[in-house]
Amino acid sequence: MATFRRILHPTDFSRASAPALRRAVALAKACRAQIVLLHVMTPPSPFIGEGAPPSSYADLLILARRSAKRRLAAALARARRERVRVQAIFAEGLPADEILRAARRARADLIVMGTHGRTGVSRVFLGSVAERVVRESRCPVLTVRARGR
Amino acid sequence: MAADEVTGGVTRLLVPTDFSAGAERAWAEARRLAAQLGAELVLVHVLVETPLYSEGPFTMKQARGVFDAARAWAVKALGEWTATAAAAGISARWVLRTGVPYKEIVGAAARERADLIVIGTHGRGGLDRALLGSVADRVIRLAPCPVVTVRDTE
Repeated sequence: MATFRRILHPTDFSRASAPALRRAVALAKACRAQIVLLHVMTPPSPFIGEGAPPSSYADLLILARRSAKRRLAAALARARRERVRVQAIFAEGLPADEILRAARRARADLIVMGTHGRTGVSRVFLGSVAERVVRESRCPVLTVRARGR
Repeated sequence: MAADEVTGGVTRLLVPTDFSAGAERAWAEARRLAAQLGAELVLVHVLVETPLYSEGPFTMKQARGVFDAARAWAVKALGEWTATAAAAGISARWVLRTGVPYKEIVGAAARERADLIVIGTHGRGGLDRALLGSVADRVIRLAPCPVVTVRDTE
C-alpha cells in the first residue's frame, strides 16, 4: 500500500489555520511525511487606492509580497522546530486555484486545511476556499475546523 | 506526547459507506492511513427505511421483508469490506445504524470517539460533480472531529 509522503498545508497565517497546522505536523511525524507549507497571496486590489498613481500600486504590491514572504519564512522556521521535514511554497492568485495547482505539482497525498468554523449561524457554512478544494482536489482533503473540535 | 509521535493523535478512523464507488475509494484511503498510523477502522453503514408501506401495494409485512433483505445484504457487505482491512493486518470492525445518514454518522463519530472521519464526497446520492455530496457536506460541518474527504476519480 502506498504511503503518505507529502502533506500540503495551505495557510493564511490566521488563527483558523493553527489547528490544521498542528494536525498536519502530527500526521507528518506519524507518517514520516514531508509538509509542504503553502501561502497564497491574493494581490491587493488596484481599485483600493483609486486615483492613486500606478507607481504606488506597484509599491503596495511589493510591500504586500515582502510581508507575506516574511510571514511564510517565519511559519517555515516554526514548523522546522517541530522536527518535521518541511518546505514552503509562495504563490499569488486565487487561493483555491493555487492550492489545487500546488497539490498537483507537489504530488501531495493529502491536503490538511483549516475551515473558518465560527460559531452560531455561520457555523453551517464551510469556507468557500475549503469547499472548492474539497470538491475538486484529486487527493484526500482533511478539513479541520478552527474551533469547537 | 510519545503516543502522538506514532499515531499522529489518530487511533480510530470512522469510515461511512453506502457501498458506492466513491465510498470504496474512501475505504481504500482510510486503509492506507490506518496502516501507516496503526489506527483502528470502524466502518459504518446507515440503513434508510423509506416508508414503503405508506402507499402502493406494499403491506407492512412485505415492507418488513424488504428492509430485512436490505439489512442482511448490508451485513454481508460490511463483513466483506471489513475483511479487506483485516487481510492487510489492520484492525477493523463495522457498525450498522438505521436513520438519517448524516445524523447517524455524526452520532457514531461521537459514540466511537473517532479521531477522524474518512468519507467519499459522492455516494449514491450524488448527482452532479459540481455539488458536494449532501451527506459529506453536512458531515464536514457537523462532525465532532476533523474530516478527510475523498473525491471519486473522474
